[in-house]
Amino acid sequence: MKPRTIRCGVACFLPLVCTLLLSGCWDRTEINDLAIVLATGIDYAEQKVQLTAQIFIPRESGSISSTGSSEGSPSGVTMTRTAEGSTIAEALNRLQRKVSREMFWGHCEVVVISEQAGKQGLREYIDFLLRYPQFREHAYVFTSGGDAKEVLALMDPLERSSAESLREMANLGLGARVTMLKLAQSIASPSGTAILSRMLVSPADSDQKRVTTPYAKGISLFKDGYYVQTALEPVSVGVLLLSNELNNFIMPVKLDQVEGTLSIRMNDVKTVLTPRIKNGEWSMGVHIKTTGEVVLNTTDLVLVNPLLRVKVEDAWLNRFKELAEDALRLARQELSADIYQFADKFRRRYPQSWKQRQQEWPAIYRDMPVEITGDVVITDTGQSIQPQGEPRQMDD
Amino acid sequence: MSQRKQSERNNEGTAIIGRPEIDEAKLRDVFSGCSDIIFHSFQTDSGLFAVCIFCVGLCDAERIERQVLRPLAEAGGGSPAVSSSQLVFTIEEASQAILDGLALLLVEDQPSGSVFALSKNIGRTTEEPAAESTVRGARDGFTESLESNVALLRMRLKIPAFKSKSLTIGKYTNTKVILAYVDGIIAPELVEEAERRLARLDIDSVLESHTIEEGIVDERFSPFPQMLATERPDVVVSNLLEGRFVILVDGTPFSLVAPITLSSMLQSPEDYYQNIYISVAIRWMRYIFYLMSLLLPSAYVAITTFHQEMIPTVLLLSIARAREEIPFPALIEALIMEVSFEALREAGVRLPKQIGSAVSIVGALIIGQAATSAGIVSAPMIIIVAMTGIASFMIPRYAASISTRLLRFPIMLLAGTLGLIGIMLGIILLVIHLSSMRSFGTPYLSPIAPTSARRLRDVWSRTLPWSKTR
Amino acid sequence: MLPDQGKISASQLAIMILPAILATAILSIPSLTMHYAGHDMWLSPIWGSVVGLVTIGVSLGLRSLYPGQTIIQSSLHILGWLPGKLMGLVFLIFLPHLIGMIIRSYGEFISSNALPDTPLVIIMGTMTAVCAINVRLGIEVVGRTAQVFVALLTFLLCLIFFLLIGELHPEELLPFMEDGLLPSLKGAVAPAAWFSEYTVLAFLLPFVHSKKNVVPIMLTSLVITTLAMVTTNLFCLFLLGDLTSSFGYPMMIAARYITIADFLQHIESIIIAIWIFGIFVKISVFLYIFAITAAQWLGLRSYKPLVFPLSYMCMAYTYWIVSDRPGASNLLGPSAHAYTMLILMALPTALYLIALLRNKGNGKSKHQAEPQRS
Repeated sequence: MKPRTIRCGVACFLPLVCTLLLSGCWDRTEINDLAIVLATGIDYAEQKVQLTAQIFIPRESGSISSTGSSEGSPSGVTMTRTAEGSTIAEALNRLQRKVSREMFWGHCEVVVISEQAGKQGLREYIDFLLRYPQFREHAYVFTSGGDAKEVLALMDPLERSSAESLREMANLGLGARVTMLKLAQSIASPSGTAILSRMLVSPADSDQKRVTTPYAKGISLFKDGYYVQTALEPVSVGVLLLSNELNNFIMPVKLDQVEGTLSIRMNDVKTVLTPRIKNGEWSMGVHIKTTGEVVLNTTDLVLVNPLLRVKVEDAWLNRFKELAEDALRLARQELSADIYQFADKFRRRYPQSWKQRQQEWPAIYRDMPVEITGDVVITDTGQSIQPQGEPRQMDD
Repeated sequence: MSQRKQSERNNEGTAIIGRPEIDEAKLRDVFSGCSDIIFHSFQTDSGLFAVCIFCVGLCDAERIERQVLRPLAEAGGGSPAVSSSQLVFTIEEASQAILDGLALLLVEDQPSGSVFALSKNIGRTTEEPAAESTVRGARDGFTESLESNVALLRMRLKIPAFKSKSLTIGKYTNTKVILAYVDGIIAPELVEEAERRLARLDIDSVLESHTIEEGIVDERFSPFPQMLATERPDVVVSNLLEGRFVILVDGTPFSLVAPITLSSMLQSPEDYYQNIYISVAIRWMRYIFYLMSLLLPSAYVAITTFHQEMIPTVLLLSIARAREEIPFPALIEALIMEVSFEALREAGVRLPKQIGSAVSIVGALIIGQAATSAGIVSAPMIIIVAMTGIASFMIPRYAASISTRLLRFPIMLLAGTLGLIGIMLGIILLVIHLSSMRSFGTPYLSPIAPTSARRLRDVWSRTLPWSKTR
Repeated sequence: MLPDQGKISASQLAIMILPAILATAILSIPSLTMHYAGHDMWLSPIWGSVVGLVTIGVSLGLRSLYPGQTIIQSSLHILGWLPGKLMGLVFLIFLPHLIGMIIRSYGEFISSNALPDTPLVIIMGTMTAVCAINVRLGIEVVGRTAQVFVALLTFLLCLIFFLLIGELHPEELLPFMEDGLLPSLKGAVAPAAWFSEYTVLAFLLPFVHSKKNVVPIMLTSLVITTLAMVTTNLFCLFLLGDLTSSFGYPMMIAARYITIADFLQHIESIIIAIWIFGIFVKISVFLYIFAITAAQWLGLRSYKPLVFPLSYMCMAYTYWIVSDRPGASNLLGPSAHAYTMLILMALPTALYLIALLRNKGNGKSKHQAEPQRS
């Protein structure tokens, strides 16, 4: 380009650039003008939706030259603010009025919905959380037995915030690992059901009431987007098992005619559901595949012997079957809810048959034969070969 | 072209007649007031009047005496024992020759003067270039003397195809310039184009090769260098063998190589003198750091101001904590720190060597620490600026780092206004500019665009000597 | 050696076309095809590529009949002066409409996803200005910038795909052919409209200094485009399943979903970068075609003076076509696809058929080329 053209172009461009800067950068928000929300809680009381936000407090501790180590969370790293409204969107708006900085939901990694709120139906919450631009689809969703705001108000002594501890717990696989997207998908599927981990507040160890952690206890079950029931142990184990969400679990196994119990820690439980339609007869096959490690042995069995191991594996598989059957009974007989997404499997595998008999699904589901098979292997018996800790064990 | 060539062609100018007294008077007239021009009259053995005129600073008087004066004064008549001698026919030529450092000999009854090249070296000897040192590789560099520079090249290219064409540029400085290339490798049109552009130059003085560079490049108003300025003969030779030419200028050790591409700016000669794995790894690191030196502060400003959701939560919380007490927005903070860093860098160049390093290290630390303690800038910003500085030092060619230093600021402004979109726009504009640039006809971004698969090998990894393709 | 001659290589052309089609495709097509085709959405681009094949064939055919001439020039020879000029006029009216649509959808996308408070005119204006500068500098610069950005695009897109692998559920491929073949064919209308944009070849082939055979390069480009669309669809399907059609931009949701080792999160800004680079090439290519068309239609020697006024006209179009955001999504409805395909595919095909018939009638007289000046 000729120099004169360049000069003209630059001369015209520069004022434009300056006006850009003078009029202000429209979307600019400094970090210190943001209220960073770490977790969201949804409650329902007195016909109003209550939205709670756990906000991070960026407090500088002392002078900057010392590598500031704030003494743990009890010094108030997070705070909660609650607002209510007739819809969740209105509650969000009211919430902003209580906070001096712009609420930033882009880092909200945890959503806690109380069971009360769940009873009103998840549809409103899911639509809002997936539609509002800032929320993460990868946020983990939990329910809480009590109020969600109680869980969010906790000052976790170990982690930075209770949101962090909830998230880490989900990562560890304690309970069901459900993200917002997965929740929406399972409710949108032909089954219309969902499961969520339920959180409770453990009692505080010191006299500061809030300094404690949340813990997972039970599974909340949702049918057609509404909360119906909580499943506690041992049924919840079966629920998780059939939903392919069971991990980080140690199972006690008892053999017939043998004193004492074994405890087996499972690695990687995989449950595969295979739908079958034979001669118009609908059935479902459940195949459980896992390996395990014996961590406790109070029987006299020396497990090096492969025949004994096979016996233990059989007993273990039986235990699995019991759990699965209990869970199925809960879903089919008690709740009539397709919690384990059987319908989805049939739709994928047999789309034509599904289209034909879709209307009769509740009846089919209730009476469908379910065959439970398994492939369980004990791979390890720990450090010891023989049972330990037995009195006079070395006398033999 | 220069006046001397003109006068040679037209044969203008006052002729030298065979009368040394008159010629000497004319020359004294030309050089009146120049106390460094010596006029030495004597008689040869055969009784002829002769005058020897030379510049005392440029010529080696001892050799003149020994090789010119003594043989002439010897009994039996001799001729000067000098290997190189030429004839001049006009006063103008003679005076130019004297100014070029040659010794002029006028003898009675000869309508021409002889000039002898008996100059002494008044510059420094070859030493390692200060700005382009390598761990492994030759340690000689160009000096201010044009002859020794050409000699260094000739030493490495012992083939007759290595041509060196001589020109004079500069009305008042009459600087000698040499255009060198390897005949048969370089494209003939390129040589013609180079000569044409050099001929077109009409400047008063040439003090540094940059004056010539500015005059002959395609794009005058680009921050990116279009000719490679280097002090290393091995760099020049390898470029000559790739079909480029070099312009050597008397009085400066910096030679100009053209045509070049962006990737030449990011290559260091050491890449070819070391193990291939480390060379490729460091080359890639250099590319990444080049981008970093351009984009890092802008990316930081854009992400912390517009796209906070991109930052990992833990990092965001610690940045929020660090920025809590800072009064300035991120963009202003970045500008302050970058400007002070540039100032520090520039000041460091001027400092005398003894206190330079101490002041820069301690100064940077103290300023950084103090700024953070005073709450003017936040610790993450200091880290960003430090990383940017380190990244810009990784660029092997100083000329290329100028471009990033300059362009960093507009991109920062764009980032502060429009966030990542602004950075993208800045990158797009930059790529447009680079794509439209040609260096003596070669597109600046080749071999990336237009893509040439053969040459691309040398960009993403370096070629091995036996697989090098032209 | 010499200044710009206004020629690009065949591979540069192929590289330019890739984002010219894919830039808007990767964002809109998953949602559109899912809407009609359900879980068979990944088949739709394959059916749609047939349209691409036809369009490439027509463009190459026109080139072999009238080498060195763009479709605007050859239409004068094929149809005669007045009908030819009329057809040129049709293109002249369609092109700013198309470019306006593209710029508007760019603006809406950026505004809704990255810069909500910035005025739309700034977002769209800066991009238009940058593209205008690019086009003004010549087709060679457009080609070179396209090469640089397509390399970046490919890298970033592959990075996104790679990072998403851990979150995919391949069982979403089922149910397969739930309602037979028809849904995937219905879904193919949208990709077909995008594939009909291969008509840009008819405008740009004269500028290629054809040392190599152009046909295999173009076919490779078609295959790559189809593959890219299919892969995008598959990724969205595997990640989002049935919900794909419920989101406006499924690829954005997919990019937001990536979280690796707790530190790589919310990198939808990479998608935005891909989008911006791709849109830049797309708008540049279409703006160049517009400028060339206008220059040739008006009989001007060089298109360069027209570039800035024409881009200003396109900016005016962006405001003219729709007034609000939901209206903008109507731009991607089936009527829009039919409109695009009519002008970009049906018209050139008709032109080509008429040319064939005329040439058969005239005993295959080939018309010579006028050298192109850019």
